Amino acid sequence: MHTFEIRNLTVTVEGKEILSDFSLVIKSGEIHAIMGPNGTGKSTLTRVIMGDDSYKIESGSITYDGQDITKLPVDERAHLGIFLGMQSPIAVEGVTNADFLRTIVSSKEKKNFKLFPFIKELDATIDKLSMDHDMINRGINQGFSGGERKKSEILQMHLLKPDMVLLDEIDSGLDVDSLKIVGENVTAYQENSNCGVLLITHYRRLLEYIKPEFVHIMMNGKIVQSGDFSLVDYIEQNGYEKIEKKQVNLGTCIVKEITRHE
Amino acid sequence: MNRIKIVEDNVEEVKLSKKVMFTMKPAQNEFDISLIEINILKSCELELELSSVEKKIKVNVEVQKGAEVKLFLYQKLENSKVQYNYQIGSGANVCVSKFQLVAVGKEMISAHLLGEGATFDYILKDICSGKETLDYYVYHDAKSTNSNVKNNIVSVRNGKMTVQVSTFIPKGMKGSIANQNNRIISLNEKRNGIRPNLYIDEYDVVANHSALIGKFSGEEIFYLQSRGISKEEATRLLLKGFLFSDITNKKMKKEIDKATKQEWR
Repeated sequence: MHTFEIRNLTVTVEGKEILSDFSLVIKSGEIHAIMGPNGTGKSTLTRVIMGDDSYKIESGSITYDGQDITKLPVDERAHLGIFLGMQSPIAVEGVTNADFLRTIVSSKEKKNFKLFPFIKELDATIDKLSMDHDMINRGINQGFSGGERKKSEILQMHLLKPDMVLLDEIDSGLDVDSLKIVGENVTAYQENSNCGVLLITHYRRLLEYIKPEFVHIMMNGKIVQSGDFSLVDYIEQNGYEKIEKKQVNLGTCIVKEITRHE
Repeated sequence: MNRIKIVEDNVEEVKLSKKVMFTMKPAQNEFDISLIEINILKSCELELELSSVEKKIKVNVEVQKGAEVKLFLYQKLENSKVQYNYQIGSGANVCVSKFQLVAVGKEMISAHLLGEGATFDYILKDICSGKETLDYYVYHDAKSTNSNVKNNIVSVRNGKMTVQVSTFIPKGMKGSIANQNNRIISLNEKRNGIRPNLYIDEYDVVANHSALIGKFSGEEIFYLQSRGISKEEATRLLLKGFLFSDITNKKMKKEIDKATKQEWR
């Protein structure tokens, strides 16, 4: 059982506050979804958790199983078992996916790395994700469509076997069939590994495949509302504006229709 | 594969088919220039390996019309000056892939696209560890000619690179296409420079250039690190990708790999 905890985190970039007194706890087996309007700091949150040094942590802490990870380099956070599936994965010319995937898996498994089981697992996962086997001979994300890049992120997740999965708008750029494949694969991985999942999304459709127990609405760098799946329906019907207004009107009171998650 | 290996002024290996003619006139004294003449008559692949310390070398490569030529160049220079002169006939297609390690060197490459439909594709992978100057002159001397010059350079230790690429399309050379793509990844604090020049005197052409000097982006390093790769390993991987891209020849990949492993152990 792993516990991932963000406490009163305030983050700035070039003097501008992006996350403001942000708190969230995710335990193994839990699926959390964060929704919110554009520019509220959702992607920043995932990058800060992963250790992107272009953001400055002003106060607060990020702990993983009680260990403060705010000063750990990015790769060491990955070795702890945290994985970030990115919104816009970069492409690297010249290095094949095969080389890259072997490097990342052997870097994790070190002396335990064995090539044959790796190839076997890679082939099986490529099939599960309905990807083209030729992709392994192409450059990292080179010439990949938006959907292929997202599938490639999920492929890496499967191979790295993380305990805490952060998925930043993994649904953007996916067609309906690919969305189903990605959603079902993430759910299958979560059920098998009992990992914790934090999803960032704008759309309900992804959440139909990866069902979150906890849904949070983020605005202006903090969670303004938490609840269960019914919060997604509420947002679908009413948008974020109403929540914002209710926050203003009701202060810290809980909106009637919504159950706050503690 | 046709092959010529020259170390200093000595021709160490020559293995040529009837499609390639080769002569070499070694320098007579320290002020003289060694002259290498290569005449390619028909479509073929040719490997040229050149190592030189404190020499002046001129290489003339003539490609006859219609020939499709793949040229693989391996070059090691130390305090040397080299001049390449390509003469490309109509319909001929010359594709040069070059990998070089340069301590201190000056190089001038001129390409004359002499006949209609001639093409010149030039890919350079260079690890520069001293003062190096590369001067390109690409002349579109006929209609519908095509040139692509792509330089990928890594500047290390005392590497100080200056690249100048000048492409000329005179009036009347309609339908010509000229591309320049120059990138220097600087792994030191030395000054590197790129001067892309497009001298175009005709409307009906396509001409592009891109130039970049800098380090790998933080975004690239972050992505690789987020998969558990250390910053050093991530940089090494990006360098490998930078130097491997567009290279399909296995031997050249092997040579690049060997050099990168030596440089970034």
